[in-house]
Amino acid sequence: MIEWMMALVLIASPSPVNSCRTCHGGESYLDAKSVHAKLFGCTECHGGDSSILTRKAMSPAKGFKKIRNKKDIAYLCARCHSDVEKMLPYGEFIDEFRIYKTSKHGVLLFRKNDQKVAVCTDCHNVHDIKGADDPSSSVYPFNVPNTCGKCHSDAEYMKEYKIPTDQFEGYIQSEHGILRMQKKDLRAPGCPECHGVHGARPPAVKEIHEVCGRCHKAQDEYFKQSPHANFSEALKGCEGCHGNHKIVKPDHNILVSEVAGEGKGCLGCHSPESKEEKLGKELRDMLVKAEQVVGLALNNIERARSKGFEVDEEMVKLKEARGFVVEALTVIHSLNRELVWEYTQDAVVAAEDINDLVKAKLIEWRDRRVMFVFNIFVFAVSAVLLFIRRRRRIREEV
Amino acid sequence: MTMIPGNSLLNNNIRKRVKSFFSQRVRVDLDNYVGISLIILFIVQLLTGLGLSLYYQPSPTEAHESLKFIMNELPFGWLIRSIHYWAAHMFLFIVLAQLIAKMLRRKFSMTYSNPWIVGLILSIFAAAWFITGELLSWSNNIFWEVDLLTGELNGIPFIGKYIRLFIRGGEAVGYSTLTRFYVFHILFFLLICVPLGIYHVYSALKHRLVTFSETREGRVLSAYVLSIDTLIIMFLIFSVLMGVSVFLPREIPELADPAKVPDVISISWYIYPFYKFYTLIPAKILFLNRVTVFSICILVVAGLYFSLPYIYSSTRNAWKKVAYACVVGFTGLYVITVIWRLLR
Repeated sequence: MIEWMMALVLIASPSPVNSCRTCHGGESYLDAKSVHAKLFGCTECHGGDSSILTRKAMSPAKGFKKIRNKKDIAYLCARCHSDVEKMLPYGEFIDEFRIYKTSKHGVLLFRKNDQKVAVCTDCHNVHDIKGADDPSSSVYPFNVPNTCGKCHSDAEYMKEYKIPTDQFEGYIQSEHGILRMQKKDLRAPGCPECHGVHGARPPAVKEIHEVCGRCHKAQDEYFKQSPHANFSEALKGCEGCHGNHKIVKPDHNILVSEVAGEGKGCLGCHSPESKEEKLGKELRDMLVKAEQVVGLALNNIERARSKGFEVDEEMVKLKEARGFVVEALTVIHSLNRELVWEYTQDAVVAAEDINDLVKAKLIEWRDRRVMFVFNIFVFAVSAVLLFIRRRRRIREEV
Repeated sequence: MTMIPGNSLLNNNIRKRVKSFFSQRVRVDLDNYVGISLIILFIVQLLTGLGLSLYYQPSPTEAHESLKFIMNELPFGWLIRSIHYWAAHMFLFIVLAQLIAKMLRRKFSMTYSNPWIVGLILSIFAAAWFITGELLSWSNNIFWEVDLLTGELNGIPFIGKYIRLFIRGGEAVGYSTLTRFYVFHILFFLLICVPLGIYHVYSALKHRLVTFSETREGRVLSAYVLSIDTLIIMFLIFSVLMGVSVFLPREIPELADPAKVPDVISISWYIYPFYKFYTLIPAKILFLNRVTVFSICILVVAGLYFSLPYIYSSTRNAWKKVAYACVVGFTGLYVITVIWRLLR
């Protein structure tokens, strides 16, 4: 009976007709928004015969491929996405499937047949698959952390894996998260930049500084020269001091405290009164002094600017001084006292040069005020004399 | 040295004429002193402006450099520029105060219709004169302010595009905008405002001289005392201008950068009330867009201000009160918004 009714619908519909859409209207609607919609229809993925409006359209005899589990999904997508000839016109990669199998998700799916792990459709959606350059896509750079967080922030879902579920919460509070999610700065990493895209997995402890060093190259180079580099595995590399997901901008107190954000300060490992504690204090003092002197120079520049003086030369010097402070903050990863002192001292010298330049201008401003007082005196005396003359004249006129 | 009799007679004649001129009796009140202040400030502006124009170069590439030269290398250049800037502020403040005083004292009847209307026109020109001068500093804020305000003009149906093109001198704010603002600032407004100003003073004085006056306001003084008062006012103005110029000198602003929109575009205080009102209008009312609604409102209000002497002399009491209340209300709102903007 139902098949008869479906046949009637097919006859009444304008041709040509895709019979899949007659029953699977919802999926078809989503499919229309997908990047695949312009290229092919339902049968390219699902098989079957869309010209038949009976259940026979979905029979194995017509080539219909039933998706039984998540492995089938991965294979289904890989059929095209691992095919060089099919992907060539679109300039797409063809190694997603191969890489996926090496990821934590892929290993759990293919080795342990874990059906809860993420497969292609969990991140890219089932039918409304959009390109990574579409702002409404789940894999658009600003949406990726939310997409990963869908599972990784769900404590109930992640219970059996015994891993933390606060990564997303920590990330959005981190310097990286603020830059990427609030300031829309693509230079800051999202989840895939550290963990990999299709090969997503947590980096091994030894790899942490390599991962961070991809962007923070100079810091990594100096870190490799530090005594910590030898104990990298035990100290968890960068993570030991800076934490992993909730990486906040460290202040100088990290050098003299036990805890710093998600990571540890120097005293988190080293005992008080140790030579390391002394070094930490010295480094902190050097940085604080350099920043204070540069801050003071900036105040002086602003003071001179507000008095109408040109401060271009001072601003160039200020950039130089700030550059030295930034260098010192980078060099500090080597924990080399002499090197840090060199850069902080350069910053102090540059700031003092600025102060000398500004001082000459402020002396001129003092001279201007002296001139003003003299002028006011002349004007006031003139006005008073005129006022006396006025009163006398009015008296005479009366 | 021998005295030439003829010369002595001439001297005596001149002395007599000068004496009789200064002995003339004139009726003066606060308006005269306000007028004298404005004339003194105008002369200060002319002289300092002349000094600045000798060194200022009106081009986007040179304007900033020439300002730096004026401020740092030209002897007393900083003082001339700061006085020019603060005298302009003082001028606008006094113009506004004069307008409010006239309005509150109801000096806009038919007898005073000419000074009232010409005064309003001069006030508008004074504000326009000010903003053309502000762009000459070619600072990033004023660049974007002009870009923002002139850009909005585009929305006026039919003519908006042409007004914008006329003001900007092209599609974007740039070289041609700066040069035409410069010409407007140093020549156009001068040519328009000086004859108008002379007429304004003449039409205002016509009611003030004792011989012509039908009123009994103010105080009768001799021209000699009035000239002493003028000198005292001049010294007071000089003192104030010197003070603000030394303690709050005009800064060298950040150079205009078409690629760098400031976080907040600070709108000049005298335009701010209009801008604030503009932002409160919904984007679309029926089929009219925001800028059209704004233009209609401004034209209606301006019409009310200009026609106030006629409304006051020809209509019934009730309409007089409504028109007067509207004008006082609008001016009050303007002043409150300006104060709010300055205190913020």
